[in-house]
Amino acid sequence: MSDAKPANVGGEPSGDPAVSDELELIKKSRNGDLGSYDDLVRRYQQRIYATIYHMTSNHEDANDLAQDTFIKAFQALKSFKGGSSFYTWVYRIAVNKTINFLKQRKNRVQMSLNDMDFNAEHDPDMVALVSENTPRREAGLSELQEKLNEAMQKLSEVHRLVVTLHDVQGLPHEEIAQIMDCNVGTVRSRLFYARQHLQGYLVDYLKD
Amino acid sequence: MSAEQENFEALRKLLAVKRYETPPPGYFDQFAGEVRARLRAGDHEKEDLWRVIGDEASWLQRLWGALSNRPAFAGACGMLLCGAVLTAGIHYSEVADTDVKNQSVAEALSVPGPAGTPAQLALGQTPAQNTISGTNPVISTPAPAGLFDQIPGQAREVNFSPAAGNQ
Repeated sequence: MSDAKPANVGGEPSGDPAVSDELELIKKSRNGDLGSYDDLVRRYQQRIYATIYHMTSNHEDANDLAQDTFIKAFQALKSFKGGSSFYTWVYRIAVNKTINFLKQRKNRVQMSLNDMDFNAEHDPDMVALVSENTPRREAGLSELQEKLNEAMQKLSEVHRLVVTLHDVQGLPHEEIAQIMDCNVGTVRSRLFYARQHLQGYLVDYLKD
Repeated sequence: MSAEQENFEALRKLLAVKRYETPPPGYFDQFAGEVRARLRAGDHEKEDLWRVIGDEASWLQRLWGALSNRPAFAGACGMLLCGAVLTAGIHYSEVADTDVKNQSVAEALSVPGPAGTPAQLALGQTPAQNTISGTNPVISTPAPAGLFDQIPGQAREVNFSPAAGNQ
């Protein structure tokens, strides 16, 4: 995952070279420089893709929506005033696109787990965690992953999003509030509600 | 809210498993290139159109979603729409017929203005004030004295004598 710090175009000037570099990339991209935009895409592609993937549980859909997000961001770049960081702005585009997509998809839940490269089985800590937490020892990582995705899909879009952004991607409440355009209290309450429901769905996989 | 009091630690650890779900190797090496290719191909222009249709007309998306989820409701809406179009068509065709008839009547009732007809002008007559008064559509115009009184110009006597050579 990229370590690039998000830039705030309209914010106070920063001495951080990564941030000023990003500002430069944004300016060039605004002028139609696709090479600079390419660099911006590379900075955030993994996080944007991951968010969309965890929301849709489908690699193909996540791929299409992630590409659409960056295309739309490029097209709307001239209207980007810098009221928030570029990173938050792109995230917001991705989230809106994904939620719209999910509302349209509703009754067409598909998962393409076989497309994913599930490399957790090479991580001894993760294997230990799964063994600890799974009552049936034979339950493999892929089964656990499938159950997790099923449980996630049972949540509403906003609850799934808040769990994805906080518990999977590790974003702070404040940043999630900016992305979801709501206050921090709403984020906390949604997170609480979503976790409660997930606990209910995954009770067999959680240690007593 | 007692979010902090609840123990979600086990759940959080379990959810961490999802961080290991990554796309096939090499996927991100090509991703930016694919976005750039679509941008070069002009996809952003299509995107712009869809943005206008989709995002700015979100009511259309909601309507479409509502209809696609309820086929019976969609069918009823379709029939209503067809009925409305049919009714409107019949109504407007009747209105159009009435307009044509009214236009014919208006032409039949049309009267010359104060300048009068060319025949009246040629005969030096003062044009009659053929205004419609009241609701009586019958126009009273003075009847001409004779059929040929309306013909402009004057009749002249003409003498005809055959040429001398013909005698």
